[in-house]
Amino acid sequence: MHLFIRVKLLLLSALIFSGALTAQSDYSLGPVDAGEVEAELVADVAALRPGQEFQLALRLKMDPHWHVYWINPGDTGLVPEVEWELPEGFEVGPLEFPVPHRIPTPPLVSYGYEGEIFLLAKARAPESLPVGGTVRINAAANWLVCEEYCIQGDAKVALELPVTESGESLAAAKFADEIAETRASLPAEAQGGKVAYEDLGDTLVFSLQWDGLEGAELKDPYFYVEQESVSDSAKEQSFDLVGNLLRVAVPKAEYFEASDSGYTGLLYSKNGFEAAGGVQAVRFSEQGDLASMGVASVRSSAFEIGFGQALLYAFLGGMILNLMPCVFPVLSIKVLGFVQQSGEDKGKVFKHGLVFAAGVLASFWVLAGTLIALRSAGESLGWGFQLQQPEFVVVMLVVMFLFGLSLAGVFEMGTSAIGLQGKVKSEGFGGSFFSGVIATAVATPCTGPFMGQALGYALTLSAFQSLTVFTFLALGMATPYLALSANPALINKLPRPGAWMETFKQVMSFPMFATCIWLIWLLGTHVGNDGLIFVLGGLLVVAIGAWIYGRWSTPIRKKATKRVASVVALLTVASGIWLMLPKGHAEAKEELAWQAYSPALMEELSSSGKPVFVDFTADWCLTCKANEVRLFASDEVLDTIKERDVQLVQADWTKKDAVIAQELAKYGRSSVPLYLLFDGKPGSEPKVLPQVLSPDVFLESLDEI
Amino acid sequence: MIAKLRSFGAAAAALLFIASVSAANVGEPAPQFSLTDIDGKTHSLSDYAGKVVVLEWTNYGCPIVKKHYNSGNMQSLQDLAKGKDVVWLSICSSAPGTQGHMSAAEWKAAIAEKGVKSSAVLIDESGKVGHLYSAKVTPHMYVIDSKGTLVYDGAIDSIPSGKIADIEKADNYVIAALDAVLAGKPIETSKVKPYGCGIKYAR
Repeated sequence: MHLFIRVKLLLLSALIFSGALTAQSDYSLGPVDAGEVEAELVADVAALRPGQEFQLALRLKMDPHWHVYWINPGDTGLVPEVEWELPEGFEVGPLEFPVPHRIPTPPLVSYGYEGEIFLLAKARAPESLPVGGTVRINAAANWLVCEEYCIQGDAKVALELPVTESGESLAAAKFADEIAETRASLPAEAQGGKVAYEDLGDTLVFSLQWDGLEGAELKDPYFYVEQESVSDSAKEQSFDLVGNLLRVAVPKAEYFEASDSGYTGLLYSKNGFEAAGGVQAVRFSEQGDLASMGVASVRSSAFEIGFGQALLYAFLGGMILNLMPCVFPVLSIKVLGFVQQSGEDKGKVFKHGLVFAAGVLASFWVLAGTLIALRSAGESLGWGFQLQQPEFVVVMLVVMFLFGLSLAGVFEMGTSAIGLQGKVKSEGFGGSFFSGVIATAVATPCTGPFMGQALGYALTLSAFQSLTVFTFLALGMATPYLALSANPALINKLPRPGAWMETFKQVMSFPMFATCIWLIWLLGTHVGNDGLIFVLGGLLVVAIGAWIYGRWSTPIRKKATKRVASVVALLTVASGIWLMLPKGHAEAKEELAWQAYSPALMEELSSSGKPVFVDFTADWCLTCKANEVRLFASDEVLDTIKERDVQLVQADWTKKDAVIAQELAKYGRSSVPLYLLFDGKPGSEPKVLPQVLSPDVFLESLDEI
Repeated sequence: MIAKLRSFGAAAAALLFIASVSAANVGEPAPQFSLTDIDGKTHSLSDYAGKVVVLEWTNYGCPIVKKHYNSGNMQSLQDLAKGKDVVWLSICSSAPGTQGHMSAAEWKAAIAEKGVKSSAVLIDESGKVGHLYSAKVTPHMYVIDSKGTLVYDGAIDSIPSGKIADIEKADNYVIAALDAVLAGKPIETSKVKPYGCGIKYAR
C-alpha cells in the first residue's frame, strides 16, 4: 500500500504550451458539474508574479449526504486523485487533505468528507515566467463519491491566472478565504511528537508521545491511521492519557497488512489542540521506540492497570450498592441481624459474615453466568434484564411487601422461608447465605454511576474475566458486613439489643413499603392503569393472608389451628400473587412528547440541523428516573428545549430490545442511563453526557454545540 | 478516571477477548449455504463438492464492478474458470429497493448484455450468505478449493481504483489463487482487503 498519494506531475513541453493559441483541450475553466459533485480548480491568488509561491486547490462540493474519501478511505472507498498539467517550470506539491470524518454506512465506516472541501496543493511559479501573459493550469481529477451507493466521478478542470510584475490584480481570488481557512485547519505536525506501536494480535496499541498532550482535554478523540488496511474503521478505539503519553488501542482491520516502516496517523480531538494552534488534528509521523520513549510495554504493565482499575471500580461499585435505595432496606434487616448476633460467640458471627459473603458471591456468579450464557447465545440483553419480566417484579413486590408487613408487626417471621432474620436465628448459616442472595437479587437493577462503567467493561471481557469482575462486585458488596462481623470491637459499638429494636424494626418497614411503591409503579408500565387495580387488589389479598398467619399461626395457638391457619394463609397469599400476575393488560401511555428511538429516526434527526437529545432509559432504572425528574422539572431546561427546538428521542429499555442493546454497546454500555446529544450536523459524533445528569450540565452541553 | 477506565477497559477487552466473529476464515472449511439463482433453481455449495469454487459478490450498479465488467476483465476471468472446470457463483446481496437488486428479467437482460459467464447468478436478498462470509464490498472475491476449504478472501486485484487502465498493471489475486489451487501449491496471497462499493445489505 502506498503511504501517501502519488502525485503525478505531467510537465508539458514548451512547444505544446506555447501553442496556447491553438484550441485548448477538454479542460474547462470554472466549476464543472459532475453530477453529485461540483468540481473546480481554484487558487488563493488572482494573479501571479514570477517565482511566486501560491496554493492550488481542487474544490469539491458534494450533494447532501454524498461523500468522498480521505487518503485512507477506511472500510470502503477510494482516495481522490489529481493529475496536473502544468506550464513549464511550475512545481506542485502533494495534495493535502483536511481532517477527515467518520462516515457510517452500516455495517461499514469510512473516512471522508461531506459538504464542500478544498484539497490543497502548494505550487510555485518559475522565476523565468514572462510578465504580461496568462498561464493555464489543467487538472484531471477523479474520485469515488458515495451515498447509499457509489459513483465514479471525474472532471477536467482548468485555471487561468494573469502574470503581473507584482502578482497583484484588481479582482480578489474567489476562494482565497476558504483556502486560507482550510490551510489553517489542516492537520498540524505534532512537533517533537513520536509514535510507537505494539501488535497484540487483534489490536494495535499506539503510544503517542507529545508535549502538546500534557494537560490536554481530549474530546471525542480518534486516531486516524494513514495507512490503509491497518485499523478497523468500524470498531471503537480506546484512549488512555497519562501526562504527555497517550495510549490508543486500535482494533486491527480484518484485512490487516503490516507495515515494516511503522504507521503514521492523525490524532483527532473535537476541541482542538492548543499546542498546535487549535487545529482539530495533529499528525504523528516520527517513529519512536518504546524503550527510548521511556514507555513500558502494554503487555507488561498498562493492561494490568486497566484490568486492576476495573476490579477496583467493581469493588467500590459493589460497596456503593449497599447504599442504593433498593438495597438499603435489606441492609437494614442485616443491621438487625448484627445486633442479634453480637450476643453470640465472635467466631460464629464472623462465620455468618463469611456465609453471607458466599451468598452474595454465589448469586453474582449465577447472574454473571446467566448473562454470559445469554450473551453467547446471541441475545443482546443488558444488566437488569430480570426486572424487565413482570413476573419477576411481582415476586419481588410480594417479597418486599411481606418483609414490610413483618417488620411492621403484622406477623412474626419466625421460621418462615422469607423471614431473613428469623432464618438467621433458627437456621443459622443457611439464613445468612439466603440473605446474601436476597441482597444481590434486589441490588442488580441498581446500576449506579460506578456500576454502569464496570459492567459495560465486564460484558466485553472473556467469560473468565467477567466472572472476576463480578466477583469483585460481590466482594465489594459483602465487605461492609464482613468487616463488621470480623471486628467484634465495631460490633460492640452497635447499640445493645432491647425494646428499641422493636421500634427500629417497625420504622424499617417504611423503606420496605417505599420500595414496594417503586415496584408497583414499575409494574404499572407493564400492566397499565387498569392492571394496577389487580396488582393493588392482589397486595390486599396478600396482606389478608399475612394477617391470618400472624393472627392464628402463633405459638400460643393449638397445633391444628396453626396448621389450618398456615395453609389458609399460604393459599390466600398465592391467590393474591395470582391476581397480580399480568394477563395482557393495556400498556400505559406516555404523556410526554418524546419520539421513540429507531435507527432510521436517528439517521434522519442526526443530520436535521437541530440538536437531538437521546435518552436511553428504563422504568426500573432509578438513576434514569431521578435524572428525568430533575431535568424536566427545570423551567430553564424546558424553555431551552423549546427555544432551540431540541428533538427529544427516548430509547425505552424497560423491556428487552435488541436494537437498543446494540446501540448501548456502541458506547461501551450494557445498561441505562445513557444520554447522547447530537448537534444535528451530518456525520458528527454525539456527545455522551454524564450518567448523573443535572440541568446545569445539560444546558452547558447544549450551549457548546 | 471513570471514562479512562471505560476506554482502556475496552482496549484490554479487545486485546484479550475479541474472537474472530466472521464465520468464513481462510484455511477453514467454507461455510455451507443454499441460494436460488435467477431462474429459481437452488444451488448449494455442497452440490459442488470436489470442485474448485469461486464466489463473486456483485452489484452491477457499482462503478468498481462496472470497471471490471466494462473492461471485460470479469468475463475473461469467468471464462478462464470455466475452461478449468472451476465453478463460478456470482452472488448479489443487495436488499430489495437498493442498488444492484433486480428482477429476474432484468438480471437476464444484464447478463446477456454483459456476456456474463458465471456458472450461476445467485440472489441473496436477505444478506444471510453475505453476512455468513462477511462479504463487505462488490466485487468481493472468495476461492474455495476442491476439499471445501476457503483459500482466498479479498480483493480482485492489487490496485484499488476505479480506472480501467489500472487493471492491466494490477496483479490479479483470483488468477493467482486459482493457479496455485489447481497446481496443488500453497496460495501466496490469501487475504487482501477488498475494494469497491459497500454491499447494500437489508437494514
